[in-house]
Amino acid sequence: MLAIGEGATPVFRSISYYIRHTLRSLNRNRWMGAASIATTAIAFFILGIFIMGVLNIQAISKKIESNLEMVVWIEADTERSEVENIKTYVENLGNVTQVKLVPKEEGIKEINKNYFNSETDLLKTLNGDNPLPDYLVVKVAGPEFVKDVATKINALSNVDKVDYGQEYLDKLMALMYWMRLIGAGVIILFLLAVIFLIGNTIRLTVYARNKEIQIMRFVGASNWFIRWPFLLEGLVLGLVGSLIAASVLYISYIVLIDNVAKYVSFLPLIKDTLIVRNISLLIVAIGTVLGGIVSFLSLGRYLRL
Amino acid sequence: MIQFCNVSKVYDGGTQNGNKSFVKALDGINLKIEKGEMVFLVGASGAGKSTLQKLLFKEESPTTGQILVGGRNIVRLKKREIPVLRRRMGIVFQDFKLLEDMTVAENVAFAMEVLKFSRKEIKNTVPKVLEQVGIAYRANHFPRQLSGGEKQRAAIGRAIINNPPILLADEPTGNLDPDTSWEIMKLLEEINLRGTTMLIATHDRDIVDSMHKRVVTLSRGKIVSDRRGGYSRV
Repeated sequence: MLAIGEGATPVFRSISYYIRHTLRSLNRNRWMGAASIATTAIAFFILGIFIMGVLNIQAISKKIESNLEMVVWIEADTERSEVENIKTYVENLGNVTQVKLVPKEEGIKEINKNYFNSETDLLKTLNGDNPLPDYLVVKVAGPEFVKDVATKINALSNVDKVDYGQEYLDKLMALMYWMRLIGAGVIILFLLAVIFLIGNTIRLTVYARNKEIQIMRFVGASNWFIRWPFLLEGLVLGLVGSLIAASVLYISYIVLIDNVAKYVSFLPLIKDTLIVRNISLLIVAIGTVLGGIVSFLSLGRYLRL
Repeated sequence: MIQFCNVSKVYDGGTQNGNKSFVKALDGINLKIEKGEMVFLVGASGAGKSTLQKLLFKEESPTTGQILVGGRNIVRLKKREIPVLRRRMGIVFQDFKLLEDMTVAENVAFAMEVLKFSRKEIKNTVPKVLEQVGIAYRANHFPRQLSGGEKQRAAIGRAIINNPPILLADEPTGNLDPDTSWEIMKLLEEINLRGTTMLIATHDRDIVDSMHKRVVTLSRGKIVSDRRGGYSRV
């Protein structure tokens, strides 16, 4: 038998061959490749947005769940003495640790301070007619008591409504449900497009290199030697596309958080860049593996060895 | 070196008038080719010449029968063993199968590269082989700049680059004029004289007649004559 491939560094020799041929066919199919990369980038960017969205909503829900406070809105035209009665009643409920009355005079001052400049006198503008209700801030001993206390207070006359975390939580859960559903649908559509486009790029490469493949087979190249450049091409398409997605996600999330977080400081948004970085890395890994798998599968269909 | 034992090859011809039709490409072939022989395989188009060669390099598998190459039965060869078989054979085609975007030297080097020869080995071997097949002066030309004969020389150079013990040629002169065909046959004979076993499929009667080699004639998938000398007139 002939001594084939013996010598200094057959592995390196092959790697350099694979890289050269991968680059060559990427260059040859550059429009198809660009379309694959762009679709991969969009798909994984959307995936990243949804992951970050879901993580943030989870963080917010957790915060709300651990919130022991509720706000009791008193009907607007209730006498102050009646409000004091409600306050006393609430203070005497079991598991209530603190009750604070925020009268409407204070409320309007807060709004004036927070949303208008110091020269504006909101009360004057409204002709001294304060439309705000009084409200109570009620704290309970543990999150498990929130619902029970809220129900009891809500049953009182003159109480307009009780706001507590559970309501937001329900809304957030509904939002999360729809986000997940829509997100999954959009991502599946894009992933199908990715699979189609990368698969098609590999198919075109197989056709374009048909003669070359034939010659390689007839001179006795091993099957894996023939396959590798195609697999690498798929890997590179997946890698570049998801790398773009991950970089854009990483940068835009950090910029967004930097600019938005201070306006919504009450929301516990994820500011940890480590989490964003890990998600970005995960996206790159998934994208690369997907590219490899897709090209392997389309080789099975189009490359007859 | 090469032995066919009762080999038949039946192709599925599709369905006609509701009946499945079969095409019998080879029918009970028994053929033995010794090491160092140069054998012409002749016959009309569709007689089974190409099929017989395809069975040898395992592009097709026989429906029945056994085929030995170098003492080894290749009928039940595993997929990954096929490349090893092909490294022991040079294959030459009527349409040359040169890569258009590579020069002559690169085309020959490409075959060595996919067989994982080192750069040094490639650099040393390619000029020698180009010299041997008489195409060295065209080393840096592209196939489109060559005549048919020159292309076939380059293709032969590629086929013998790793000194295979066997060379198969399917109508190597089919696209060439008579003078060029003769030169190519003489080149093949030279290679044969260095010890390469050779099986050449052709229907070029004049050449076969004047080479005085062993001639195997196929007709409708059967060997109808096997003798030394000229083209059998059956």
